[in-house]
Amino acid sequence: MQVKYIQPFVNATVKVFKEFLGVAIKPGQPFLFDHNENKYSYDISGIIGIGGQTLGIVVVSFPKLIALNLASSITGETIKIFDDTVIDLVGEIVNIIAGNAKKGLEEYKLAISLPSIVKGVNHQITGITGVPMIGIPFSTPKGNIYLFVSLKDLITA
Amino acid sequence: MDGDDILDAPEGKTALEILNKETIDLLFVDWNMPKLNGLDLVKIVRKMEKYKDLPIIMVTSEAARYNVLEAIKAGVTDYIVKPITGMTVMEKIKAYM
Amino acid sequence: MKQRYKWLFTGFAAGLMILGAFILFNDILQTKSASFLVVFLSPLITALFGFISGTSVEKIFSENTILKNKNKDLQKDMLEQALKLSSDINSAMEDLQNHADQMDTIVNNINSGICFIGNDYKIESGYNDSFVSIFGDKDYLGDTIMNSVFGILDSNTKTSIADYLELCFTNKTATTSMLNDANPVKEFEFVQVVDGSVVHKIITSSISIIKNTDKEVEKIMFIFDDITSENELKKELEKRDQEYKKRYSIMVALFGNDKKVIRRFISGLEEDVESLSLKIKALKQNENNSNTISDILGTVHSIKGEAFALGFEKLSKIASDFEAFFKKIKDEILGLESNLEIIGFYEKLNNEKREFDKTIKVLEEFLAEDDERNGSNKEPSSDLDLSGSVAKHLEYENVSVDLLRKELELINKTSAKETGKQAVFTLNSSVNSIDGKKYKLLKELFLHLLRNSLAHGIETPVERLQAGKDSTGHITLDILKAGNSLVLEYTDDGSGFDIEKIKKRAIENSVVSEEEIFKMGSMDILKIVFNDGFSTSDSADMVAGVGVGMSVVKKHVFKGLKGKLSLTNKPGKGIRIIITIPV
Repeated sequence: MQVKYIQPFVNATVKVFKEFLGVAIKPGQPFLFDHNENKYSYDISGIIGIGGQTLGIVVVSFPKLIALNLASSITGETIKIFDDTVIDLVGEIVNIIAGNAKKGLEEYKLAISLPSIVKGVNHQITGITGVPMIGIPFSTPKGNIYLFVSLKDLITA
Repeated sequence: MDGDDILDAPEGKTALEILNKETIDLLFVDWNMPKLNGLDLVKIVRKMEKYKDLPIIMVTSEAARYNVLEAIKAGVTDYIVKPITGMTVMEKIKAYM
Repeated sequence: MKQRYKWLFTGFAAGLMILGAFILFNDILQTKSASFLVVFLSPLITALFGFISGTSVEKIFSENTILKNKNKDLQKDMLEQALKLSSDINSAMEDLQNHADQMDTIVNNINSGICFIGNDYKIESGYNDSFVSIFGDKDYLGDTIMNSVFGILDSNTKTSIADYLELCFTNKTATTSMLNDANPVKEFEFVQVVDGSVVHKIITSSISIIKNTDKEVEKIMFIFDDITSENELKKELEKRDQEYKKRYSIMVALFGNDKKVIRRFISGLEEDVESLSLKIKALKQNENNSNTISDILGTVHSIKGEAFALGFEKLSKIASDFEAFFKKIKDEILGLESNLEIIGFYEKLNNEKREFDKTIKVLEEFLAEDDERNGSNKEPSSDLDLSGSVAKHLEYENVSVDLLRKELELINKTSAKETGKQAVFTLNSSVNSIDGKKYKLLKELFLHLLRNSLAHGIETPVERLQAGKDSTGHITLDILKAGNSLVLEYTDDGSGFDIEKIKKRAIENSVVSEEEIFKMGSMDILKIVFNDGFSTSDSADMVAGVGVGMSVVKKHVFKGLKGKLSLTNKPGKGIRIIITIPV
C-alpha cells in the first residue's frame, strides 16, 4: 500500500492554502471517485503525472469561486472574471503544490511532471487504466477543493 | 613466444614490484586480492608516469553500476565480468594491443 | 616493426587467463598484423584527405605568385582571378552547406533523440527532431540537461547524473563502453501531461564522448531512445500471463469443491463485500471507530476462514492482511493515512471478487458453447450458474442440512491440515433443511467454533495419546427441533478452555484487573473469551484469528439469530455449547 506517496501532496495543498489565503484547511474523508456520481463540483484542475517507482496521476481540482478567490488574494485585486489570468494563476498554484510535494517525496525514486491545466464544469478526469481514483476533499469556507489520486501500487502492490 | 611476454603476479604487492622493474603494455587486475586489492593497485599504477596511458582491465565478479563507477574513478580502462573465458580475454587483448 | 608486448596478469584469475591466452595465441598474431596495418595506414589516409581538401587553396596561392611576377594585363587578370577566387569560395561554402544539410538530414532521420552538451552541462543547439518529440517542444538552449531533460527526476538521481557527467568530462582512461555501463540513467521514466492526460515514457540513454585535438573531452553526445511501446508490450504479456495464472488457481478451487458450496460462498461473498462497502463508508475520520471496526473485522474474518477452507488462497491472504490491519488500528483515532489504506484494502478485496465473477463468466460461456454444440435444449448452464445475481435470491430458499454438513466437513478438514491435528466432524440432524435467511449466520458461527476447536481445543495426536485419549479428536454438531426452537448442540473432546491461560491473557490485555479476576468464578472468566478482540493466541494465522471468532459467535447468536447460548467447560475433556434459536 503506497499511501506514503499521497501524504506529501496533502501536506503541500494544506500549506499552500495557509500561505496564500491564510485559510487553514484539513483533509476530509477520502472516497472512491466515480465520475458518474454527480456530487463533486469543480471547474479547473491541475494535473500532475508521476512515474518511476509508482505510476499515476495526482489532480488538484478547484471550483470557480475558489480559483477567483485565490487569484484575488495573490494579485491583491478583486478578480471577478474567470479569464486566462486566473487560469495562469491556478497553474502557478498547482505548480507550487507539486514543487512542495516533490520535497516530501525526495527519498523515493519518482519522476514528477510539470502540471498541466484543464478547465470546464466537472470536466472528465481519467486516472490510470484499471486503477481506481481516490478523492480527498478539503473543505474551505467557499466550498470544497479536491485532491484526486490514482496510483498504480495503491491497489496492486 | 614471438614478441609477447606474459607475466603473472599472485597478488597486488608482487604485481607492483614487477610493474616497477619492467615496462608493461597491458595489465589485467583481479578486483579481490590479498594484501593489496585491485582498486588500490590501479590507483597506485595510474600515479606512475610511465603508466599514465596503460590499458588496465579489471576482472570483477559483479558489474553493478556503483562498482563500474568506482573502477572508472580509480582509472580502470575496461573490465571483464567473471566467469572469464579465453575468448573474452582475447577480445580485450585485441582491443587494446 | 617487431615489438615486444608484456602483459601482466594479477590475482587468482590469472591462471585461467594465461591458459586462454595460449589457446588463442595464433589468433592474436594474425590480428596484430592486421591492426598494425590499420595504424600504419591511417596517417596516410588522413594526409590524403588533407591533401585533397587543401589543393584548391594552394593552387590559388601559387597562381597569385605567378601573377605578381608576370605583371601583364594586371588589372584584368586580377579581376578574373578575384572572381574565380570568390566563386571558388562560394562553391566551397556551398559544399560545406550541403555537407551540413546532409548531416542534419542524417541526424534528423535517426529515431533516437540526440543532443550535445558542453562541459557546463548546457544543451547546445543542434538537438534533433526526435529529441523534441521525446521530451516535448520547448526551448532547451541555455538550460542544463539536469534542469530540462532530467528535471522531473528525483534529486538523488539528479545528483548521480551530475557526478557521472563530471566523471565523463574529466576521466581520460576509461572506454566509452565502460562509461556507458556506469550511466545512472541508462533507463528512466519520463512523465509529461499532454492535453490533460498523463503520458508515461520509458527512455534509454547512452553517451558518446567527443574529444578535441588535445584529447580533452569537449562535448558529450546523449542518445535517447523511447522504448515505451516495446516495454508496454512486454508488460501486457506479463499481465496476461499473471491473469491466466490467477484465473487458473480460482478455477482449480472452483472445481475442487461442491457446486452448491461454491454457490453459497459466492453469494455470501457478494453480500459481504457490499456490507463492507457500507461499513467502510460509515467510518468517521479523526474519530474512534472501534464499534464499526469490530463489525468489519467480523465480516473480514468470515471471508478469510471460508476462502481458506475452499482453497481460494489469494482471497484468504487479502482478507487476512485486511484483518491484521484493522486489528492494529481498531482502537486508534482514524487518520487520513489509515483511511486511505482501508480504501486500498477494500479495492483489493473487491478486485479479487471481480476476478471471481470474470472467471465464472468465462467458465459459463465455455460451458454454454459446449451445450450448443451438443444441440442440447437445456437452459444454458442453468445448473452451473454461479454468478451473484442468481445466487442472490438463494437466501430466500431453504437450505438443506447436507450442504451445511459438507461445508463444515470441509472447514474441519482444511483447519486440521493447517494445524497438524486430527479430528472427525459429525453432524446429526432431525431436520432436513434450514431457513435460507439464517443459513449464512449459522454457517459462519460454526465455522468459527470449528476453527477455534482445532486451534485451541483439540490437542495434537501425541498430546491426546499422552492424555489417554484417542489420537483423533471428535467434534459433533446435533441439530434438533424442539417445539418452536431449533436446538444446536456443539461438542468437542479437546482440552477445554484453559482458565489459567485466559486469566493470564485477560490481565495482560487489561481486560480485567488482578483483584477482579480473583473474585470471578470460572463461568465469568469464560465470558471473557467471547469478548471482542480477545485471543489466547499470540499470532494470527490462517486458522487462529486475532480474537475475532468467538465474538462473532456471540454476535450472531444474540443479535443475528435472536437466540441463546450456553457453554459447559470440562477442563481436559472438552467443551459443550448449546445454541437455541427460535424458528
